[in-house]
Amino acid sequence: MSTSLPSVANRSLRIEKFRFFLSSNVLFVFGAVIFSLIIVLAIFAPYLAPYDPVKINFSEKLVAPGLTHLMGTDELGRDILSRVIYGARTSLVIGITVLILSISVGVPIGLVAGYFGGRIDTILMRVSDVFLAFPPLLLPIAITAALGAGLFNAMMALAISWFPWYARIMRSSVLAIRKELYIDAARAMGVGHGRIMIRHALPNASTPAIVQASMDFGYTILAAASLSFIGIGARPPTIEWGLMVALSRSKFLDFWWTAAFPGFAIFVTVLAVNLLGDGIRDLLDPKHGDLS
Amino acid sequence: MRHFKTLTKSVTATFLVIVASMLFASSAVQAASKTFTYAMYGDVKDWDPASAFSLEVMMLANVYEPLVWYNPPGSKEQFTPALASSWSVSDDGLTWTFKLRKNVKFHDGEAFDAKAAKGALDRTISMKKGAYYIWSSVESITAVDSYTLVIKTKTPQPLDLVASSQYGAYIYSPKAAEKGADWFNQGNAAGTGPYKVRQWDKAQQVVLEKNADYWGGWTDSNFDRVILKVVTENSTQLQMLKAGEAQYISLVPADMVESVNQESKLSAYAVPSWKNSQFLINTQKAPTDNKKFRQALTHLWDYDTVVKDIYAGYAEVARGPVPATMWGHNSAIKAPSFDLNKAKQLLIESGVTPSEWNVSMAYIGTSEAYKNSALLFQENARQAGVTVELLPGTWSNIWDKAKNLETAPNLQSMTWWPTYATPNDWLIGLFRTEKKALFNLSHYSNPEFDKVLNKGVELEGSNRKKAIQLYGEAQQILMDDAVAIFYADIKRRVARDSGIKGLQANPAYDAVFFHKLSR
Amino acid sequence: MRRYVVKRLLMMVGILLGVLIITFALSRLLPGSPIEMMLGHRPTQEQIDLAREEFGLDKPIPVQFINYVSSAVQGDFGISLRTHRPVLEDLLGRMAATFELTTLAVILVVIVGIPLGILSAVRQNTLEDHITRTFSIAGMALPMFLVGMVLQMTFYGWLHWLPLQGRMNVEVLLDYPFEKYTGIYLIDTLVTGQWQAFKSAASHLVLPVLTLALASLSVVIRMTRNTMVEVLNEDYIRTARAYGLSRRLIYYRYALKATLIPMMTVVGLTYGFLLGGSVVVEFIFDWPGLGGYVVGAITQNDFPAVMGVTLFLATIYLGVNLIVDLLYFVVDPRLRAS
Repeated sequence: MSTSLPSVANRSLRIEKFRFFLSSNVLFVFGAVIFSLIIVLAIFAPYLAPYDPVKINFSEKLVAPGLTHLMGTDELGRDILSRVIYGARTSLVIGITVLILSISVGVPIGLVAGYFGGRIDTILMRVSDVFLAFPPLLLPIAITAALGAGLFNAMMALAISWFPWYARIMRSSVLAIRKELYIDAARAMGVGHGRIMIRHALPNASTPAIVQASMDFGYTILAAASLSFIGIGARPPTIEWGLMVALSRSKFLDFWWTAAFPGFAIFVTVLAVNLLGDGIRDLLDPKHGDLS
Repeated sequence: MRHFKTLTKSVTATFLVIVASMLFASSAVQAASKTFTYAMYGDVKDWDPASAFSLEVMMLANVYEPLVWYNPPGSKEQFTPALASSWSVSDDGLTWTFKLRKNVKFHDGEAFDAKAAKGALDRTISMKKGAYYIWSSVESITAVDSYTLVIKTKTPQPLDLVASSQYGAYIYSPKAAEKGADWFNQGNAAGTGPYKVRQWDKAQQVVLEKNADYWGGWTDSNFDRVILKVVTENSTQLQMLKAGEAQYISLVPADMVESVNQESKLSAYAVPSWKNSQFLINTQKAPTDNKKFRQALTHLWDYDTVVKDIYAGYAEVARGPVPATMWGHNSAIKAPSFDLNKAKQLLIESGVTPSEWNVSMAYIGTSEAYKNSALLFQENARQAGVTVELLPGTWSNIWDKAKNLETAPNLQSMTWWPTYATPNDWLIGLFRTEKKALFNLSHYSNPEFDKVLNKGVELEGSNRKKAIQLYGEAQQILMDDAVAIFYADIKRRVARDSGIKGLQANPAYDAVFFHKLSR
Repeated sequence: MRRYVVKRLLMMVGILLGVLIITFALSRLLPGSPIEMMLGHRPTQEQIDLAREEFGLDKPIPVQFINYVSSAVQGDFGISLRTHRPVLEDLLGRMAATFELTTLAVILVVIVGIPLGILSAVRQNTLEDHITRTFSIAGMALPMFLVGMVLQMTFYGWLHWLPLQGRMNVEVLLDYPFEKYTGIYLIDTLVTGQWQAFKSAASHLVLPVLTLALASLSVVIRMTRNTMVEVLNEDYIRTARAYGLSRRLIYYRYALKATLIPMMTVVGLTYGFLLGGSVVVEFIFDWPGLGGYVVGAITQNDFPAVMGVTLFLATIYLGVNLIVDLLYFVVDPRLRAS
């Protein structure tokens, strides 16, 4: 007698499970939906944006939101809705780039430090301590200033300031699994350090780093926007939401839409990404969870 | 339940704090009507009148006085006597005699006389800082008697113009001179002007108060107190003006002028200045080392739109390197036409291969005007097949790069104004041959131009008419060589409380003379 | 215990040296020559050369670095190129302003955030919990500069209830003078008995403090809640409940104490976060503190100032962390034993 359910019942059970998952993780779903929307906006920006985001048109400057321009225009007559849509591209690129860079530098360092321990560990961790000794935002500001203002340099700066964090996280989780039996077994069999690190340590210890990355995505976007706001991040003609808010500062009182919409875009995006990140964390690391 | 109470307690506490402070704020102190507040975009850095060379003039021109003041163009007299009551020059142009004003005291009690004047000027020249170079042709300064100062020069110089400079020509107390730059830089001052420095809160404000013993006298309608408040952001300055917390701001974004004028108590307007803006064209870097290519670029600039829209009418289209309001301006010079076809033709005639029609354009990133003009130019150039790479940055960054031919861009933003009232300031400062480029960022070197210019300089003191003619020639040479896109004679935009009277527009000074104001 | 402190201090020195190296490298990388900038808008070549020599820029880099380190150790951070005054003097002058701002923000965050977080944890999955969590998640997505701008525009631009910028109304400062004993205006004005000045200082503090506080409030609420939830699920708490101990006793005697350590971490982290965040807030509100100094120094390539302020802030940040760690010893007897 088989213990498996007939296929029809199987499918409805799965649907039920999915429904249950959705309802108990409303926020996560909300975040996922919004985030997907943003990704769609970013990818299909040229098709979705109603106007050319860089075209200067003095006759239409500072038009209030209305039927022709849903989000109004800025001081050069550029349509804000289109600029917000293109800005999504910039923000997504920022998040992805900074995280990939931080991870690709930080994770190997943490891996090596945690695996070998001893002096290598101490040295690597002291070095990352130096980076972590700077209050947040200060190091990215200084590095960006040194490299020169610009979005690319700002991303470099953020990555440089961030990787030690990933090194630390990776290191502590590698330390945890180092004592595991299968590592010892591999050594005993004569498998080289490198192989062990890549094939065994890395996959099993990378969860916390992934979790951290999903939660950092939003913060990266915020940090980049702040840098642009102060004037050392993205510069014109780059379309970046933080830059848009900065440019609108002297006109904000009389022309609220020039700052409100890009600001709102930042808020919604970071919110969605954070919710998504929370959900990922709950999935992968339920112990920490909000236990909803 | 307990925790709900804790929650309500903490939240209520926060609200109470906020509400309470709002109540405090609404009982704010009313501004005294005898106080005038000026919102400055930066703090006074250098307090030494001998070396200060920047926005300090706001304070300096009210606390100190030079020998003479230069009057606005169009005035009946060219000068107003300040610490010198009269002056004359010898026939050979090499000896100037200044008769000094009597019964004047410095703020620290010292008496003003020829010895004090000599001491101040000697120190300024020997310190070699700031604008000391305006006195570079001076051979000797002598205090012939208590109230007569004689200055001898090596070559004929218009010393009346030099002595009216807003930098490097102030007379300060000999006691202060002894104490030196360190004393000054603690926020101390000892001049003869209508205002004394009461206090300096670093990075916040400078407070001036009336000098009751001022030789020019006081009336009831003068302002007793002037606050120079440090407000770095445009938007904040504007807010303060609208709220009545400041009466005057001097950096109004062009598109804000209308909204300011809509407030009945405020007015925003333009005052003539001797500032002009241009994009210097690198004459030694390809492809702009080619004269026809440069000329083509000058036809790709939309002069009218920039002046009308980007500068919102607060600039005039420039006609050459010297502003039209400055004496010695060559009125025969006209701006190049904005003509895409002409530009394309010149581009082809230049012989530069189309694949090399790429130029880099550097400008101060924080300037809305530069940024927008550059964007417009980039677009127009694109239509002619020229690719423009925009390089915004901070002044120190781009200046550093521009001085060195290896890193210099093809187009360099430059806003220039004279140290004292003379057209040769542009011609020498920006275009005379420099071994090591300082401000000649076109890297322009034309011996013929140098010759004409130098001759003019020699004759400026003694034969002004001939000098004007030579300066005119020099300006034409620059136009023919297309050394820059001269695009705007800038009018300064100021915004103020409309109730303030006595504001006089004088392009020679970047300062407001508070003593002349009243409500 | 003493050995631990000594060890930590030594580590701090080592880290600071690393910080010095990084900031030195950065400041020398700063493009453009700030020297020219410092000399005014029309310097002569001669003046530039003289100034370079005066600032030691003509010596080789390693020499410059050694000179810098040896002076820094003695408290000489060089002369700022913008203000022409010793950097340390500038920094000390501005320290009180930032301290006032960040401390008040931390206090506000602790008073509001921690109780809310605890409440949320204790009443998991109830309406209060959901509201609080939603608020904190939304709060973390708001950029600080946007919050500051909106507050400014609302309370000043639209309602005219609070001042726009600065620490105090200038007229009040002049007409109601007070001794600046600490540099913290709230304290100084009270001590000197200048009520008007106190009111002015307080009203100027509201918006910047609110902006800073709102930014980190969400994080603190979250962390408090999470920690409390973890603690509440611990076995010993469950056992205590099973024994029938009153909820009040459990929460206050045991759970709260257990959260104390993580809470100190949170406060320490918040302080650090706000130190960094004060850059944005001081920029918006023209607050004459360390954050404003940073932006000015960096955008004008004032490299002695950049190095000085970075070193200064890093030291404070490390110091705060050290204090928090030391407090662990005081609070947690388990650590003392080891």
